Amino acid sequence: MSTRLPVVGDDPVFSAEQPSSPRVLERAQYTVEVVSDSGEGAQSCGQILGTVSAKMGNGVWTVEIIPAEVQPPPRNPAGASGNRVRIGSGPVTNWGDRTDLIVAFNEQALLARHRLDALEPGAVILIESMWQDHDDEGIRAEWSAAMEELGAAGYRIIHVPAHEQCLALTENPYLGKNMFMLGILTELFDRDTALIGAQIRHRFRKKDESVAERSIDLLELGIAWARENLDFRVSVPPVPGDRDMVVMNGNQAVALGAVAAGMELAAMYPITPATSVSHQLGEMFERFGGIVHQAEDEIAAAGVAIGASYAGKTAFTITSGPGLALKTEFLGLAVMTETPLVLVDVQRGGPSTGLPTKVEQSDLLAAIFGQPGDAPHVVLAPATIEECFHVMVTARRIAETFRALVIVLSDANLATGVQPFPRPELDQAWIASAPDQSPVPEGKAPYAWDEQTGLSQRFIPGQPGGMFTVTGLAHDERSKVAYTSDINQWSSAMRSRKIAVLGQTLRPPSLNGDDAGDLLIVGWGSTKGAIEEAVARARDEGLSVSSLHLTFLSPLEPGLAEIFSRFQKVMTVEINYSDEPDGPFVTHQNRRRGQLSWLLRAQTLVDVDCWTRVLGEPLRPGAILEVIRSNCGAGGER
Amino acid sequence: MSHSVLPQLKPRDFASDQEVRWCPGCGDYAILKAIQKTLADLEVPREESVFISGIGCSSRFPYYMATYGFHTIHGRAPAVATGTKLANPDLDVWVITGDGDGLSIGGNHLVHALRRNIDLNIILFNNEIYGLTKGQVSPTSKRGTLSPTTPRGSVANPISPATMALGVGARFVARSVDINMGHLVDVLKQAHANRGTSFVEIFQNCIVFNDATFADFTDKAVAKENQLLVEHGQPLLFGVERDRGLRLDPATWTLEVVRPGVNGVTEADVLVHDETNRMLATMLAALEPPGFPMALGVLYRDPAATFDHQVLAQVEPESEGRGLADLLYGGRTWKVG
Ligand SMILES: Cc1ncc(C[n+]2csc(CCOP(=O)(O)OP(=O)(O)O)c2C)c(N)n1
Ligand code: SF4
Ligand SMILES: [Mg+2]
Repeated sequence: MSTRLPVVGDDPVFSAEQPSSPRVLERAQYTVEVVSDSGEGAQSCGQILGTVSAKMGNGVWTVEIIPAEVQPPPRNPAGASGNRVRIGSGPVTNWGDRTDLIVAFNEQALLARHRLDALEPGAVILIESMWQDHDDEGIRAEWSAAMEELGAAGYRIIHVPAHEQCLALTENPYLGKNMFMLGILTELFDRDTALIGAQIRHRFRKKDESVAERSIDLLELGIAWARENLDFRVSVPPVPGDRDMVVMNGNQAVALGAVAAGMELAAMYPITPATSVSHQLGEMFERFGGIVHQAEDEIAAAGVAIGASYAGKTAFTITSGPGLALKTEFLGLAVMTETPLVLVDVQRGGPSTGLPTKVEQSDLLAAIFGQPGDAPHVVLAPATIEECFHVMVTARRIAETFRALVIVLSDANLATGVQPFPRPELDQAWIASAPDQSPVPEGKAPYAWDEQTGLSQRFIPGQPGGMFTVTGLAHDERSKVAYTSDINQWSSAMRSRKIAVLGQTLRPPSLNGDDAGDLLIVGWGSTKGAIEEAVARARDEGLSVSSLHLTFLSPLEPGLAEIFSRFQKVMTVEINYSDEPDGPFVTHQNRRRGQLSWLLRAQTLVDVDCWTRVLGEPLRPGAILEVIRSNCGAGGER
Repeated sequence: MSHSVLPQLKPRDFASDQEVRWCPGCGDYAILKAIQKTLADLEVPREESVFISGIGCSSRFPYYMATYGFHTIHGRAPAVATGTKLANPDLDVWVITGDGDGLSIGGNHLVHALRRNIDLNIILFNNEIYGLTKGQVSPTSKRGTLSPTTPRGSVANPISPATMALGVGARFVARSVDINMGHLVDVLKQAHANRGTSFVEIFQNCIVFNDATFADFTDKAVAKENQLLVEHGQPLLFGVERDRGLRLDPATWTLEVVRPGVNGVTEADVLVHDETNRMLATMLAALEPPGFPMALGVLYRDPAATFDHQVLAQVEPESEGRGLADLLYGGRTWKVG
């Protein structure tokens, strides 16, 4: 062990003595994590690494590691805050299995990741070493215990005297150490320093110039330290492409998509992980004539969106599970009055307050069936960051065309995941055209349902001749309260028919893999990348598996029963809870299944099995691969 | 709005073709007439008026108007109205609510509409009971109210709607009575003229479930005696002979009833109504018989910038979609290669 390069643990790959001619590891994929206490900036460190890597042409997927509290107690495993950045030569579609290298600002945050099985065996650990000789005896003891636990796991541990180094440039290294660490990563991955600098300047654009300057000095200090002390570099060569790219997270994509769709009002009440959509909109929406309205609660937010839509503006509301629960009565009103409404639910773990910052796909059935009474509407789920952008255009169009409620199910994984994608080519046709305000011909009714389609033209306040009262009570074509049962039967049929018409316009989903085989995995939402990576790995192993990913959950995409019939076994993979088939008291009949599998069984009469997990993290492709291995050739769930 | 070319509209032009379905003798009929007369007098175009209500007997109101209307869900009309007004500030937006609708299930929304001062006319029909659900106590029911859910008498204190409105920062607070047609129309016109949230509480008799709950100041026999019709700049005098007035007792900071000319009290001792004085309005709102008159009219009016005006002033659209292209194609985009 050299004093100049404190390396703990033995690693056959690296030589600790040769920092001057570092070994270069060529990799097609490499995963990095940066973790710290909340407020120490590991997140921005990871985000900048991810964004710059994307700009250099790498495929990238980032995942935020977020504690539930804003300022959890320091040096606590539960308070670990940071980012995972998976960098690839080609496109990266998910967060992968484990991390190859981790930068940790204290050993407790590191320990948390180790215990969550987030680190590859033999992973490289760059750990802030200030705690080793800390004045506080308790902290020294914690450090020793942690090092023992981590040492036993066989990682390659490299001590980084970040605090001590940063003291040369700043009195308070707690603010700024992240830039030093970013410098180390910049050197390790040979990142473009001009791009890194530009990102730093952008991040601090609202602060005094000196902040960005000092950050760049700290960055350079980190680069220099790494040059001096680290004996390896990682190369993930980008594959050149010729398309214009953009990079953002899913919530930014939803916000930009809303603007591209010509949305005019976003009503919300702050709730993780949906809130940042409104922050993003807040920075630009008014330039496009849009309004962000922070309502007094989620119920009011839905009401404001409905009121605005009623008056002819395109409006949407953004929330997460608890807010979806509160909005249900208003959703029924939107359906009953046929007022166009888009609701974006950025799902988190539930029920109740659940896992506020963590991903789950547990709102599917609530989104489809959560409104008391029969409330036919549309539910769709984007599967990628790019789809988060385009789904807003689709949702807005369907809502307006069908006078319908459209629920968009995003989730925490998409919300905070950052991925590059081809730049959308804006289309004027995406923008809502202004509603027809010409005088309503005499005798025309506000619900003149077309018997074939259930569609009708709505009247907008201010429009001469359209003075009717719309109502959440059952009503006839003229919006008169229905006092006879046949009116309710008829109007219910009309509202339902619209959704059937939409279903007719959908195409059967395409298969990833062969058209027939042993196993078909069905997914929805943010799990697409992980599922497809697992399927690709399984097919490389010679397994007969395909996958299919659904965007429309209500109405369902057509042709499913026929597709399912071509496979020995069909199962869903989801991030929600299901009983294990062999769990205590669980029978084939009473087993509580994954939400999509529940839906597919009901709609296709196929015995669709499921594998689901609610670990508060995205699914790992490796875990799905295991499931595929053990289910290929296994036949239906019986 | 070019009033001159509009045909003169009559109150009946504001009546829809729907059959009115309140109980015979319900105070809501008189309010309906008063609002139809108000709109006819104001010559507002029917298509630019929107009545948005919650749920309750009172909230059935929009059906009977030949304007735009939205019968929404219980308690939430202020939220829908807020969206409607933000979407089209040219509309005249009225909110019709009840004591249960506006102060119980919808209390939160009412409070926030008032504090925001969005340009709505909120008309609360206060009958101190849940009418539509057949007579349960409401948040404004007097202590001791016997109802199916409080068979031994209610024990909770009632909310005073006007006091609450003043407390949360409303800029226009007025009160009237269902059967005082002239007064009610006058108050409604002032509410309509006010920019910002105009809050009007109307004492409304529910003849079926809470008959005569306001009799101590609405009965013909005592009305003149027990109603104080406030007017800005006028002394706070009341009584058949207008021989009693309100004076501030400096020792207790409370209002007291005095008779000018008696016990050395002069006309000058009687307070003059100042509708911009929130403190005075709050004291007036709290008075009730016996012992005090019920204060009616515009208790408080002190206009301020409206929510809708200020929000929309922050919106400055750029030319047709260009901005988004800049956002997407500017700093964010790069070519890989
Ligand atoms: C969510 C919901 N809860 C309960 C009801 C039942 N409900 C209808 S009207 C009403 C009370 C109405 O009282 P108020 O607002 O005073 O109106 P009034 O009938 O007295 O005019 C209730 C509880 C409902 N329609 N919706
Ligand atoms: S129950 Fe009372 S408030 Fe309702 S309509 Fe009848 S009288 Fe009017
Ligand atoms: Mg009532």
